[in-house]
Amino acid sequence: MLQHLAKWALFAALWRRASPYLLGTVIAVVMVLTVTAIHAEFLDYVRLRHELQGPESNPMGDYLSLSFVIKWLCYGTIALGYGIYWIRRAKVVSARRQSGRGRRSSGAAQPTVGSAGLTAGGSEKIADESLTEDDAAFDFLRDKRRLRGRAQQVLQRDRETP
Amino acid sequence: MFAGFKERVIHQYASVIRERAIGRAKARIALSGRRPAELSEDELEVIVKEEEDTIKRRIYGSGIAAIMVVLGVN
Repeated sequence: MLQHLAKWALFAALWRRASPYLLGTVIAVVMVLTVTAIHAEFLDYVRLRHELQGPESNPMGDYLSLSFVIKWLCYGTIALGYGIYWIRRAKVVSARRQSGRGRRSSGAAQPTVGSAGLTAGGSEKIADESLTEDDAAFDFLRDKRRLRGRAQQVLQRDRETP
Repeated sequence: MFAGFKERVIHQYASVIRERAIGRAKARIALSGRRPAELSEDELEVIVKEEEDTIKRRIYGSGIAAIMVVLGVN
C-alpha cells in the first residue's frame, strides 16, 4: 500500500517536472525511431538484394557505410536540437514560474480593508510598504552561507569579549 | 566545469530552502504579534535557523522514508 502510494507520488513529481518538456521529448523520440526504422529498412533492402543476386554481389556497397554515417549524423542533430530546445524551454518555464510566484506574493499582499476609514488604495500602499520592510529585515540572511543558532552566537560573543 | 555546476545546483537548492525558512519565520513572527523589524539581527537569525533546520529534517526524513519504501522495508 505504502509502496503503491510512493510510486504514484514519485510519478506525480516526475510528471510535474517533465510535463513542460513533453512535446519536444515526444518529437525527439519519434524522430529517433523514424531514423532507426528507415535505416533498418535500408539494411533489410540491401540484405535482400544480396541474397537475391548471389554471394559475390555487393549491392549498395558504397552507400552502406555512408548510411551509418548519415544515421549517426541524424542522431547527433536530433540530440543537439533537443538540447537547444531543452535550454530554451527551461528559460521559458523558469520565467513563467517566477511570474507566477510574483503574482501569488502580490496576491497575498492584498490587505483586508476594514471599516477603519482607510481607502483601499491607501491601505494597499501601506501594506505593500510594510511587507517590503519586513522582507528587507531578512536581507542580511539571504547571502549568509551558514546560520548561527543561539548557542553558537553565545559562544562567539564570549570569544569576542575576553 | 563539473565542480562549478555542482556548486550552482547546491546554491540554488540552499537558497530555495532559505527563502522557505524566511517565509515560515515571517509567519511565526506575525503569529506572535510582532514584526521582523522589531527584532534584532541575532534573533532573526536564530528563528530562521530553527525553521531551516525543521525544513531540512523534513526533507531528510522523507528521503529516508522513500528509500525504505523502495527497499521494501515497511
